[in-house]
Amino acid sequence: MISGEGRPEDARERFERVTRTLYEPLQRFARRRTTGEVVDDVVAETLLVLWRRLDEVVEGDELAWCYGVARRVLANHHRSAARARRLVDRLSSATSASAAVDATGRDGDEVRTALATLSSKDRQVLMLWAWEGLEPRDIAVVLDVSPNAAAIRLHRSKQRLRRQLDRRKSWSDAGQPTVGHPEN
Amino acid sequence: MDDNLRQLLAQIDPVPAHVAVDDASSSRARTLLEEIMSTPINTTTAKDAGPGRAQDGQRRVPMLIGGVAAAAIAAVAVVVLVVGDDDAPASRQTLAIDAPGTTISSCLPFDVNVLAEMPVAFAGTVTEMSDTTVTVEVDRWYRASTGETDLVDVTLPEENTSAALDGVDFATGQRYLLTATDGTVNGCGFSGPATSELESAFDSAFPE
Repeated sequence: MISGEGRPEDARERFERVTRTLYEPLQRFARRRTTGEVVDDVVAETLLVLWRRLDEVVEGDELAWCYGVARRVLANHHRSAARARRLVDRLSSATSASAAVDATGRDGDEVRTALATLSSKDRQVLMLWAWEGLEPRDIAVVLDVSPNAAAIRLHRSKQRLRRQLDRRKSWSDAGQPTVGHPEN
Repeated sequence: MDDNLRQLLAQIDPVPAHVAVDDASSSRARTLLEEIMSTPINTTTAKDAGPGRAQDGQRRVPMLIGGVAAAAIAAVAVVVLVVGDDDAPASRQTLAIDAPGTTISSCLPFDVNVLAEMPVAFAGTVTEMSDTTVTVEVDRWYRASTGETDLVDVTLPEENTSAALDGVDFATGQRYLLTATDGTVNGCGFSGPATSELESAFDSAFPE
């Protein structure tokens, strides 16, 4: 075991430097996917893993690498007993979620619904691309797949989202309700 | 075209750039970072396993904290419809559950309007469990685009059974409310044990 204080000064310098740029996006990543005190837990646990394993992280990959860790930390929280309470939190947040839909207008509502009805794998890659602003190379780091696999996954997920949006538009143009349809 | 799609998704970003988050130079952040940098560095363990581009040309095996491998389970939707009298075998279909690492990191906030769009929604009680499958006896179909079967078999991820249901394990005799898309059970609060809150949300989303 090596004490934290015993780390070379350049490690501390690098950690300070990278956390200056990734602290904010990491919080956004967590807040987009969870609520309450779990956000702080995800950020703190992720940065702790970064500190411990900094030597293994490729220069320039730190943010995407942290997103990958945060994804696993989230999964860990997900398995904990506190999740039962989180479900109630989510349900009680339904009102504020609905208000957000109203504020973004009809398009936002349609996009949110189209995204929510895709598979979780599609949503994951699209959220990383659009919300975190990642390109396939960095998505590959987050998901621990090859850049080629990430590019293919992103391409297919975009296609499926477009199909969902087109379908909804055609229903809308035809004056049909967007609720109560079979998926396939 | 890509820009347009990205823009559409950006407008539903729950934490867009103009929403302030804690600054890295804030006293809160400084305290956290100092605390972390004074933490003893243990030998790398599976608990710390992170992602990363392999530096030796080989991709590391993905590890979840807790040592669970992130194995995505392909969605399998097999529908066997048998219509007949009481002696006929019960009709059944199969759904799958994604591995937890995929599900939780792609969750959107729970919204009854989104719940209302789920193509498959039902309530039922777990009657049988094995290491790979949970059998649910359906007592109510809210929506059944894949057919109203008596039973639904839920195929579990290889090493974890609970994540898609918000960390709540399946248990024999327990009643659940479940939704699915493309043969895969939806997590993120859109499926779970049949609490009064969730049942009320299903009733609102799928009015009779």
